[in-house]
Amino acid sequence: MQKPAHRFPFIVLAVLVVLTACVTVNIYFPAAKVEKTAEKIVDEVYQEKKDTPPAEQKGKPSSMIDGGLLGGLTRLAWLGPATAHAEDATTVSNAGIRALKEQIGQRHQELLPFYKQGQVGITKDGFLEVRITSGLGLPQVATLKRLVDADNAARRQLYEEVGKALNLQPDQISQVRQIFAKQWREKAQAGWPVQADDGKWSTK
Amino acid sequence: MTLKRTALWCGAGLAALLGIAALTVALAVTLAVRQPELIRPYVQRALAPRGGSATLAGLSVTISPPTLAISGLVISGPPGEGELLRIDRLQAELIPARIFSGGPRLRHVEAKNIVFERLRPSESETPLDLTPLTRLFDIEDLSLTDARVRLAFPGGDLAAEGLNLSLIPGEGGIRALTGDGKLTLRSDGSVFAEGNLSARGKVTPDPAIEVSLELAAARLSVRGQDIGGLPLKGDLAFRSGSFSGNLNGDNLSAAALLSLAKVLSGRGLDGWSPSGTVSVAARIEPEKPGPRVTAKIKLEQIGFSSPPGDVMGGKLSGRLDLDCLLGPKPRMKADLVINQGEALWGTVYVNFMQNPLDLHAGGTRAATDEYKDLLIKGGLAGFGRLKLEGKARRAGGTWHHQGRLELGETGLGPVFKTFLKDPLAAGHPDLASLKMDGTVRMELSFSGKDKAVDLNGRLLLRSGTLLREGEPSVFSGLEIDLPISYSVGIADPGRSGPLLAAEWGRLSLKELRLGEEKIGPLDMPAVLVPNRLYLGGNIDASLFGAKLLLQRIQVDEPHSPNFRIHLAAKVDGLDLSKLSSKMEGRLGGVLDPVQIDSERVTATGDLTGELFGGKTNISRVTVARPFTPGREFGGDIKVDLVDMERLSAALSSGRVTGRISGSVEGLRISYGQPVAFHLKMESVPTKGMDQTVSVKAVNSISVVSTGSSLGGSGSSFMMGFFKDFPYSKIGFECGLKNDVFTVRGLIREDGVEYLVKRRLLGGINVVNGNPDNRIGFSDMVERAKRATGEKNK
Repeated sequence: MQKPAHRFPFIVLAVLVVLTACVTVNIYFPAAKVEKTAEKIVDEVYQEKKDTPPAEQKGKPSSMIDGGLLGGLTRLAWLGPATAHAEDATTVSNAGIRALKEQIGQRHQELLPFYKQGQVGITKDGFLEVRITSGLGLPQVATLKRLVDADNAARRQLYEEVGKALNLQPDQISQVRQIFAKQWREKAQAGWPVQADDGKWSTK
Repeated sequence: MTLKRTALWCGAGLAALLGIAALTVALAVTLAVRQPELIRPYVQRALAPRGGSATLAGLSVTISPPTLAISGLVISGPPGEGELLRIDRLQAELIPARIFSGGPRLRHVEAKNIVFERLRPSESETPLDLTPLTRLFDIEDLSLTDARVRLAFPGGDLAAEGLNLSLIPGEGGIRALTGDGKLTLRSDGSVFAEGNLSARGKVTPDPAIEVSLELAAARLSVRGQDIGGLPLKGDLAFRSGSFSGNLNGDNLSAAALLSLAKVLSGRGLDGWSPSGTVSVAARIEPEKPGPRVTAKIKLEQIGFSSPPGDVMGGKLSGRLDLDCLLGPKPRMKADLVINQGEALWGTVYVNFMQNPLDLHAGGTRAATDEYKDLLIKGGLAGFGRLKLEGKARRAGGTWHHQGRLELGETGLGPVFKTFLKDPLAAGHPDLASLKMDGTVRMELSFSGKDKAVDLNGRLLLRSGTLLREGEPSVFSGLEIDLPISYSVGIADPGRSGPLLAAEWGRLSLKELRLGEEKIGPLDMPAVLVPNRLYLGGNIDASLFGAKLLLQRIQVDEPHSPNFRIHLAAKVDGLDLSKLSSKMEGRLGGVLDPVQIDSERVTATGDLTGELFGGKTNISRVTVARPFTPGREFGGDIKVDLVDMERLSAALSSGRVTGRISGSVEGLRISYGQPVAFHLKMESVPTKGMDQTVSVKAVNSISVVSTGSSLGGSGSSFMMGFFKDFPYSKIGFECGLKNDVFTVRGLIREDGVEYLVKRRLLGGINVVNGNPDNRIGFSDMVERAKRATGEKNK
């Protein structure tokens, strides 16, 4: 029996629909978590807020010793209240991020005079840029440029580390940068140059 | 007879023609004198350029004295692109007797309101044509008043207004020349520069012209703001068909000169913000095959910054000597010396007082788009000398070039400090205390098209040493003799194989230090062929008690940021105690291939060996960002039947006996700390081996898992009676992610999660009372220190 001619395209269409359904990828970007992380890191770098000790997890003890034959003694060996300090689950951190944050923080202290003089500013992409060099000798300009280059390299790595810690795709790192850029600029002190999203520079 | 007759006829014909011509001239002169309006249309037509027009309002000719007078002459080129000449009145008196003898042929020339305008920039590449000045030789007495010249340049136009020029006859046929006028340079519709030009000199019967020029009260301004003066003085002479002269200017503003160059060239030179002054002494002298132009330029306190700010100079002083031989094949030579000031290129800073720069360049333009004898040589004092010589020509829109590049004996120390250590130390603190010694020398020939270049030659490095201040050298005695064959800008250079053994160079190293360990001496053949560096033979060394064998070392694109290193590594008998005093065991294995690039190190293969009496296997070894301080080590570790008594003794965390097996997966270590891992361990009952755990060990487990030690009198009571408790199983897993540790027991019975499960008839249980416990990284570090008795620093 001859098959209807229109059946083949219908099957192809059906297969395509099924395939399309199969390859649908749900891209998730944890914006809130990145934002919290950025806020925390920027605060610590700028040292506007002092580090607060992590909240202690209160509640039942985390472990205990059951002494078996020495069951009675287990109560004596009851481990006191757990003092495990839980990290803030809404932020991201690891050894790399902590080290980079520390580097950027240390360098920030060296960059502070340049921020205040308007010689270095924060770009819309979350990096630093040398704005003006008037009033600086060439050795100082060299120092400033080297600091900015080193800081930008650390920032670039920081954004990648945060993305990696959150299992983000490489093309999502730009969103991490933008979130950090917002925090760097919002928390900048008055008098620092900042670049708006439209590319225009102003003094905060 | 025939010849004589022919000559007779020719003579008669010629006489007739001359007669007709004389009659025509006589008729024309008669017409011009009597009826000038009749010949005016013919004169207009003769004066009109191609595509342009000419109009003449008045024409008169007188016989005695023989004088020509015209008025209202306007000659213009093609609309929109031609030149314009307008003469309100011009009268010239001829000296007929001098038509066939020497001397000026015009007795008196008087011109008023001459206007010459060139509305479009000249596209000619030849220098300004000054031969019209030779017309002065033909004039005995000249009076040119209120003339105006306007010439367009790419960035504006130059106008000379109110020009007056006079020749006054004197003794011996010498005529005194005087002239003056106002020069104005306009750009973007406003006056950019203006000054008064004056000329004094003489025209002699040689014939020759000698004139002194002075540009006085010259000021340059941009948008109404004065940016500096441009006072120039010079002499110009024309003799025996050649020009000579000089032009001098002292303390000319560099900003003004750059602005002038921008206006004259029309090129975008905005944003360079120069400062300082330039003094110029230029000469032009007649020479074969063309005039020679020389200039001595003194640079004082020059500062500049490129528009993006990546190249800057400050307080630069020195001199620039230029020597150009013009002609059909112009030759140019330039010598630059900068011995004061400083410069910044990106993050590379150079102080020219400490390291003066001398640079010499030259070349010949053999034809359009063909240059020969190109030479650049020079360098920074204390660094080394670079010499580049070659030729280039363009054919079919492509530049072909070839030549030689020679780097003389160059100290590695200054190069390392200036180009590597100082610029990068802010981001790589390890570099700050490093110092390099040794020398390098290189000779290369090159040839190619546009940006694609093939390089061939040799690199010699001698006595290379890298040391940290106050410490033994990181490496010493590095000697490299490397034949180079390299292709730049070619996507696929063909990848030749290694050359014949005789054509290989050598690389040797006296000693390499890694911590307390030393490697060396090393010696191996080396060669660079497009585009791969081969190190032949093996590197056979002892490291941390192990025999290390590196084989098949190759580096793809070694001079590119995208370099890739390939090698095979064999490790035999690596003593773990030399890596850490708390470790015990040996490792060995083959990693093949190992691939290293700027982003990652990956290794195929496993390292296996002994660990605390058991066995271990390390696989999937990686290093991310290996050349940055934030390099991250990764790998998976498996352990099998590790003796916990030896392990716990090493950790000083109490005594645990028995054997344990397990794994650490996804281990990542960065900045000396773990970033992530998942550890899973379970004890394995082993015949002949007790399974006990001491109170101190229980206390350590307690500290690590809860943060608290065994508190109160209970532990003291227990420790008074019991040293060790038997256990039936230890099983736990812990992970680190996002700076949070989690600890879980692997033994689950009746809803209870045990880390340590006691034996049926005795012992001790360690129960994980809070499986959801999350421990912060810093807290865990603190706990680990307490558990192992390590003191806080």
